[in-house]
Order: sequence, then C-alpha cells, then structure tokens
Amino acid sequence: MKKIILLSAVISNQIFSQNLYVSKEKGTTITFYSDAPLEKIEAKNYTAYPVFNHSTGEFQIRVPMQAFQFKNDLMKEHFNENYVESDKYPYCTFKGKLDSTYQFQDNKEVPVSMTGKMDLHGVTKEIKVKGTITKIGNELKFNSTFLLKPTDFNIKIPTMLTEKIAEEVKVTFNSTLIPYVKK
Amino acid sequence: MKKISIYTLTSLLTFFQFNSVKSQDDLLSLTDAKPEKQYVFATWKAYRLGNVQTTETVKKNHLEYRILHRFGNIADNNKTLNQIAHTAFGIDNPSDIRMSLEYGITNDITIGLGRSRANELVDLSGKWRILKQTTDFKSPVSIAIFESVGYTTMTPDRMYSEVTIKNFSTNEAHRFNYVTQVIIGSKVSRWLSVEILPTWFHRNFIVQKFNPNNGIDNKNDNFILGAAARIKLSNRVTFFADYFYNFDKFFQNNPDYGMPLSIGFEVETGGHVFTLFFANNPAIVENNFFIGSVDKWSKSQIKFSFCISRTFSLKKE
Repeated sequence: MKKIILLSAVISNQIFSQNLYVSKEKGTTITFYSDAPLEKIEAKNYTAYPVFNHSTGEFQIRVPMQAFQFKNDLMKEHFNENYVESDKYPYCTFKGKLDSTYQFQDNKEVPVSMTGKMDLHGVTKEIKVKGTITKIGNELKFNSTFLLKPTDFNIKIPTMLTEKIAEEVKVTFNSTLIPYVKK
Repeated sequence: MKKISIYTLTSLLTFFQFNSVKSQDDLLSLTDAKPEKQYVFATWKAYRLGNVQTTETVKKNHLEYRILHRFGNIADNNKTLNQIAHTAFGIDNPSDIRMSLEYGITNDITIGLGRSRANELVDLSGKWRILKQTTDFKSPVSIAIFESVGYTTMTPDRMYSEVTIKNFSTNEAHRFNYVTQVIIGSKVSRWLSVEILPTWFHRNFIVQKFNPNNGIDNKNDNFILGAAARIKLSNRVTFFADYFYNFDKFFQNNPDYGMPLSIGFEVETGGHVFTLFFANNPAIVENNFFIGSVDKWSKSQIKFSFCISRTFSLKKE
C-alpha cells in the first residue's frame, strides 16, 4: 500500500513538473524605453528568469534591477542610485496568472492577458498586461508590451527633468520558455 | 483493489493541492541563481569633490568634460569691505580657471588632460581603481591610485622670478611636478561616504624658503594626508567637506600658508554635476595648491568656486 502511495506521489509530481516552464538560458529580454522630448532612454536586461506553470496559468518573474544595460553608463548609475534605488530594492518581481485558460497550438500566436502584482521600488501594484504566447515545438514564446508609470511606484522625477524622462515608460518583454527539468 | 485506487486518488489530490499551494510562492525558487558579488556603486557623484579626487572613475568609453572656476576672496580680514565689494565679492578677479577632459579606458582606468590658469599648468593624469567595495562589506573600501604629472608652461622670467642667484642654470626638468595618491574610500551607508588620501607630492624645482615660526626649510618632497566626506541630502544633492594636511613642518604653523579646506554642495541633474563650494586655496588642481597658499579660512579668505561636468558616451552599440 505504501509503495503505491509513493508511486502515485512520484507520478503526480512528475506530471506537475512537466507543466512547469522556465526561461531558456539568455532567452529573456526585457527592454524599457522612455521617450521624452529631450532624451530617449533605452535599457535592456537579459538576466531575468521567468517561470510559467502551464496547468494553473501562473507566471512569476524576478528582474535584477542592476542588470539593466544602458548606452550611457552614467544613466545606469543614476537609474540605480536616484530612481529605482536598487541598493534598497534590488529586484522587481511580478506574480500573476493568465486571465483564462488558453489552448496553445503549434506555431500559432495566441493573444493572452494576465493579471498580477508587480513589486517595484517597494511598492506593490496590481497590473494587467496583454501579450501573446506562441508554442513552437516544446518551447513557449511570450511577447508583451505594456506601459508603466514611474510615479505609480513612488519613483519621483524632478520637475527639471520632466523634459528628459517620459511620464510613461514602455516595457517590452520577450521570452522563450522551455519545460523545466529538475537538476 | 478498490481501496488502492481511493488511496491513489487521495494521494494524487493531496499532491495536486500541495503543489498548487506551494507553487504560488515557490515558482521562482526554481530559478534561484546564487546571488553574484555585488559592488557598491555611486560612492561619489563625480570624479572629484571640491579639492580632492574621489575613488570614482569615468566609465568605459565615456568622456567627461569638466570646467572649474574659482573666484577671488569673498571676504578678507586684510582688506576693507569696500575693497572687497569693488570686486563684486571676488567675482571680478578669478584666481584660477581650469578645463579638463577625462576618458575611461576601462571601467577602472581613467586618463585625463587638463589646463589650469594658475602657474600655466598643463597636467596629464591617470586614475586606476584597484579594489572595489562590495555590498556585503567583505571588501569594505574602494581603493584607487591617482598619479598626476604637472608641467608649467610659464616663461623662464616668470618661473624663476624669485631666484636671486646670478647665472642660475635653468633646466627643462624644473617645470615638472608629480602628485601620487592612494585614495581609500568607503560608502558607509546610503547617505554617507568617506575617504582618505595619503599623498606624496614631489617638485623638481623649489625656491628655498623657511618658516619664520620654526626656521624649517621647504623641501622637494612632501607627505600630505587628505580626508573627505559627503552626506547625501537627497538623491541629487550632497553636502561635502574635504581637507589636506601637510606633514611637512615647513607648512605647519606657517603664517604664509593655509591648508586647503573646501566645503560645498553637489547638485546632479542627469548628465551634469554642478559642484558649488567655498575654499581658501586659490589654485584648483593638486599640482598647484600643494605648493601652498597664503589664504586661510581663519582670515576669512574664502573663495566661491564651481565645477560643471558633463559626461558623453562614446560607447558603440
């Protein structure tokens, strides 16, 4: 009897781990773009590793803020020191869930929406993002573009810099996820 | 058999529940990478504070243009208020003007070229950060080595104006002086950064003088200790002070020399850093102000000074 319970436990565990997807190595790019009259600022981050649970639709990601790369490294320093204060708040996390159950077919872009909580700069806010998920072989490709307001996360922009930093920042998320294999 | 399937079902269910509850928080644990060693950044706002160099370097492939200005005395115990007012409290007689360019070869090595009005000095300098402070304080300090070679372009008449020896043989090497510094700095907290700067200053040429209070002659080599601290008043404004103490007895208790002290504010506005401060030493750059200055804080001989720096990224995409 015990053996059977154990066996079923192992099987059930296997079933669930098959439904977990994690980012491919260097498979995730997060870009933010601020388009203000005087300055266009773009930064890219390749070090975030999202996790997706196919059976429940849950999606979680943690983004190390100090890994955003700018063209001007001084901007990077100011971004970390003055705006997101990454010494205090090193990560931005998002924990969300797909709004409904979607069927993914091979090579077909499925428009999806997701609701969840974003924790950035010590402020947690519920956000809703739209995007697409495409299944290619055993990979899932996530694409999404959404807008974030720095002021919503208590990131203050001094009045004298409003010409240089946009009120809304465009965030682009591209990620390729592969089935999770327990190491 | 029936019993077994019920057991299987319940165990499956419990595992399903267990998994779904657990996964809510634990999905991210699947990707838990070991946190990398994090280096402290932005210990200082700029390459230099008032009078001192900081442990900061210019970022790789970035160019910094810096313009510094030091006006005349705002007040002076040796002058009447009327005399001072006629110079618009020092605005009309700048004591030194300097422009410099600094370029980051790597993130830790910077080279610089500057020209100062005082002593018509051209200086070539380099800063190499050899140790970076880490956030876990395993490395509690950042250490940088700074070297500056000064070359004066003054005419021989002006350069040797104090020489009284007849048929004094001039030498091109007399035009050089050297500043060698070890800068040890630490960002103690978000709001406080401190540093000390043990310094060796060498001049190839000095005019022999002595301190009337203790009769000690001046020397070609001086050991000087600098110290600086800054407090962040907000994310963009800091308050700082820096000081240099010359261990040479010639400079101590000398009525003709005051040790350089500066106190002021930094304001950072994105690409620019404005440094607004007060100092007693008329010269801006180390190679000049280590020679000494007559002006002292105790005689209210303070000057307003500002520095504007602008960073350009020459990085290719």
